[in-house]
Amino acid sequence: MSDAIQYCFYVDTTKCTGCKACHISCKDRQGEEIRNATKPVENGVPSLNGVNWRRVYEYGGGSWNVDPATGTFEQDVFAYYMSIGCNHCSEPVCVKACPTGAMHKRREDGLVHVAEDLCIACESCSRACPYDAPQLDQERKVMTKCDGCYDRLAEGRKPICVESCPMRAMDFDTVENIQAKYGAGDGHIAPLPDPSITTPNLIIKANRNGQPAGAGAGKILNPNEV
Amino acid sequence: MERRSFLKMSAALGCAATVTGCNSSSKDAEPVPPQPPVDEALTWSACLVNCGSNCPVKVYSRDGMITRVETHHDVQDEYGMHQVRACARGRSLRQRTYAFDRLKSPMKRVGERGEGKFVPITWEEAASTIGGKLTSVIAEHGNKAIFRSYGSGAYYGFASNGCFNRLFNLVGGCLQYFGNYSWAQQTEAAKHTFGTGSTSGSATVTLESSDFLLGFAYNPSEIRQSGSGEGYDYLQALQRANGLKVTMIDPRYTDSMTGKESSWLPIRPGTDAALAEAIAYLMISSGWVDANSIDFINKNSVGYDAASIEAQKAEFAASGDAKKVEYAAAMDSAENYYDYIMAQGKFADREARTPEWAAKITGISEANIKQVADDLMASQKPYIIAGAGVNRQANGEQTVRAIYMLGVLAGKLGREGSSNGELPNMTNMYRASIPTGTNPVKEKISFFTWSEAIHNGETMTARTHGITGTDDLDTPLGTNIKVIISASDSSLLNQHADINGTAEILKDESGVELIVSCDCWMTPGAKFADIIIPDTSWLESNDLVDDSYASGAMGYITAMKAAVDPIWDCKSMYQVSAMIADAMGVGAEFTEGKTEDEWLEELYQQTRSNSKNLGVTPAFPSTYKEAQEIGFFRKNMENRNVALQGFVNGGEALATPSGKIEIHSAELAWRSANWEQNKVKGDTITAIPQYTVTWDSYEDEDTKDDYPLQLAGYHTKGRTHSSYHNVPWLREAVEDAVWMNAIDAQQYGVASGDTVEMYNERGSIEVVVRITPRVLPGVVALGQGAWFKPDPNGRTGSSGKVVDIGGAINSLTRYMPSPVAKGNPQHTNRVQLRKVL
Repeated sequence: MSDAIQYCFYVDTTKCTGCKACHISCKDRQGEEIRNATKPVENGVPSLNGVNWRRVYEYGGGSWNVDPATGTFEQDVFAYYMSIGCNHCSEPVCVKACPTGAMHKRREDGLVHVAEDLCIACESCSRACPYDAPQLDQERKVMTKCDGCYDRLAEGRKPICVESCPMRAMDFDTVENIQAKYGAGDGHIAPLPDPSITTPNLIIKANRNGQPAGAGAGKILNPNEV
Repeated sequence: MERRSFLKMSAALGCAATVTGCNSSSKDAEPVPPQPPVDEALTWSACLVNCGSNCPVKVYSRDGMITRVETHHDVQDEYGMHQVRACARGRSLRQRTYAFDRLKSPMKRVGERGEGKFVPITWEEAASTIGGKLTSVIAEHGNKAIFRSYGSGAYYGFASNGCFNRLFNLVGGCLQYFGNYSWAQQTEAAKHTFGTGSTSGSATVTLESSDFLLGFAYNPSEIRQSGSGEGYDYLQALQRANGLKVTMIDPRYTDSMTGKESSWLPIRPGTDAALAEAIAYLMISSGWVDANSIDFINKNSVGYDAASIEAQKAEFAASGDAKKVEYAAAMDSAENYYDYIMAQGKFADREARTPEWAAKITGISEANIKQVADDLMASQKPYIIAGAGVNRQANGEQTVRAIYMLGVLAGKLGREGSSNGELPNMTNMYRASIPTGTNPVKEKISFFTWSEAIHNGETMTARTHGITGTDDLDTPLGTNIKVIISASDSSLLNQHADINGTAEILKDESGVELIVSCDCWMTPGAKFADIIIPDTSWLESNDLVDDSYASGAMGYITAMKAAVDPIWDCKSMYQVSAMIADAMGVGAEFTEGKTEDEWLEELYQQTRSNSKNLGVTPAFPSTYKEAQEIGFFRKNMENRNVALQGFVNGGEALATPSGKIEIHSAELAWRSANWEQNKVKGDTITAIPQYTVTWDSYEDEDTKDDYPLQLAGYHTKGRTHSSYHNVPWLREAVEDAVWMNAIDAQQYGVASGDTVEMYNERGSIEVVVRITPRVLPGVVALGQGAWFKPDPNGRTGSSGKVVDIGGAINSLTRYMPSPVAKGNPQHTNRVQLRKVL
């Protein structure tokens, strides 16, 4: 890696309770970023349904057995949450998949952005990304995604999702600083894919229930929320 | 929106194979970071719903428009003096403030009640109509005919719904209530066991000192979501604890688990008392109690055995206190806990409370029950806690009392790390509130029985309905309710039990003659109002608020300042109460000649000088205006309360009749002898806690066949009760779906995403199904608080009632006051369901 800055998210899945404060706080900021001409008194605040720059995946599984004689249960149920925006990957498959160059990785800070004027809404990037980071704005027919809160970074702040987290389960900084603070983490767990696909800048503290990345025994339990 | 799978491995791998040095960069496309607008204003507001925390929020606005909401994240964040971070709800406040269904001017009804047809009127007409009706009803029926229903949607200090009580008390008062929808039965259970109010358990921070957490329906991670509340304290305590075993008893695998638990024991709703009694059986029958805790029990409690009851009876009989002499007459030493658990003496005809007996009822195996009992007996500092979910049952008093027994039997109370089963004690900063005056009306009804008092208030008594303040057991309340003011309140319909039955009562204009709704949004209840008065929202308000009632180890105060002027023709609850007072000729008495600024300054000065707030950070400035500029103040309350410490270690008497822990309650023995009971199955009061089979319970044979599924209601993360239901961001982020185990789904032939009609004889709702392993078979679980929305075409369901396409759980719950508290049994439900599409 060059001496350019590369940012990195940290998510502690032992603390996350799936409260969605990150998802909603991102949405509050996101609406201002991609709908600048709002008249809230007349039009309300846009719902941007289905355009979620940050999503919280509920992952769980386990089996149930009923003892027919007593009607009692044995189970090995587990679940945990995984908050994901964009990992501003070092090998971003979305960038490679983009036919126009709209999807690009910024040299100065490694954030992956969409140049909206170049985007043709072909969704190649969203099909390629194994993290669901690119989110199509259906109304404007343009791809959008987590921009790393570059405006807040310029003010010395952290992304809005990180600062919102009630359980202090998230952090964001340069790769070097995150590693210095948390080490290399526990490796990725399901429902995350194998990190070798995109080399994501994401360090995970694994939940006790954590299942192997790309091969867990559970499934996403909240598909309609993400 | 239905998305493709998160892990689209094939596609992702396909792309990965083509990635070669993909660090392309498009310098031309770099957006320029926007500069923060120089004219952006920051004011402080707060989220004031009934979740237990009033989180502060920072509101940014520009040109009279709110542009974004942030939270408290740029100050010191050391636990104890930590940031107060709002949850998803507080973060959605901009959308809620500008919601399409905001009430924008005063209105009067022009259609039938419930139709939702209104026309705008002036504030003067609204005030004179309300004032005139109050005056005529008071003249004809007396002040007991005036009622403000239970409302917890806006916890202001100044312009609160208490302003209406201030108004009523200037014109002779109103009918008051006792209890609340959250804690009614546990309040009574704790009162008659420990002489407390059910919130005197050990502080959550002390959980870090425990070695065994036994939680019944204990779910702070979902119910208390604030980043400075009970949920955060819980996480902190678990992460600090050393060797803490966490055993959770719950029908759902909750977010208070998700890896934080040692063991989840899924239980059938309403059967927790059977589990507690089986644990007690193992502790007693094994000889463990005799060897370990009998001295503690003998010293500190009444009712474990016959001898302790005889001794207490003799003391009461000789006391010369008329009430205690009555207690002595009602107490029967044959009703003792030992005989009950062991099926001896008076209870010899019953099955002993063995694990084998309890396993069939609870769904928890004998081996697992034995494990819990072993863990409890081995623990040196057991932290036992009963979440409020176990109390909102048909006979929730019994369940809570049965759980409270476990701490007594273990005999380790009074040590840091132990707790007695109550909710954790919380300490707040002091915040002055608008004085409401003195209510000359002494009678109180249970908060829950207001809908019955519309037609039967004249005959309801202490004996039949637990009414307090009457002369004796059989003196009736004497008046029906004729005027209801519903202010920041959804108990008028949506959050009360039996929506369809309640709607019929409200529709009858010969019953309640005036219904006033004061809220910010067109709620399901507001549609039944005769007059609607639109309140200003939190973000449009100047007010002084505290940290609420379950906000954990740190106290705080927010000096709210309006981010924008009232957006539409709205007035605060103070302003509208003052207008009605004026219309009734008591305007000067209501305002005391003070401006709103003067009121806020006065309340602020009382707050500022209170000794409980000493050491607040930053220090309170000299005026309220200056406080509003600072906005937010906090203090580590250093609360390490240990349940019953003063009693166990300090010899202080408890506030029970005996001064001791009452396993055999003198007051409940008396009520058992004197109060009306047995109106329905399980409507019984007993001196000692007893697992009780009730209507609609797991063991209710009468409803088992028609309605084979138990329905558990829970607190969803996407609302607080009904507050915030109308926020689209939250509806997308937290799906309202009924949870169902795959075993049941297979039997019913339904899959995730299917719509089902869920019904019983009280109503029908349409909801989406989510198949999940996180709920036990035979039980379905639905987040409470979705807004009732009758099918616009009047379509009826299998219940014969209109189909509620909004999915409000209270379309299925029953109005049946509980035996002791006369409280709400809204978690006791049986249902059937069928696939719709």
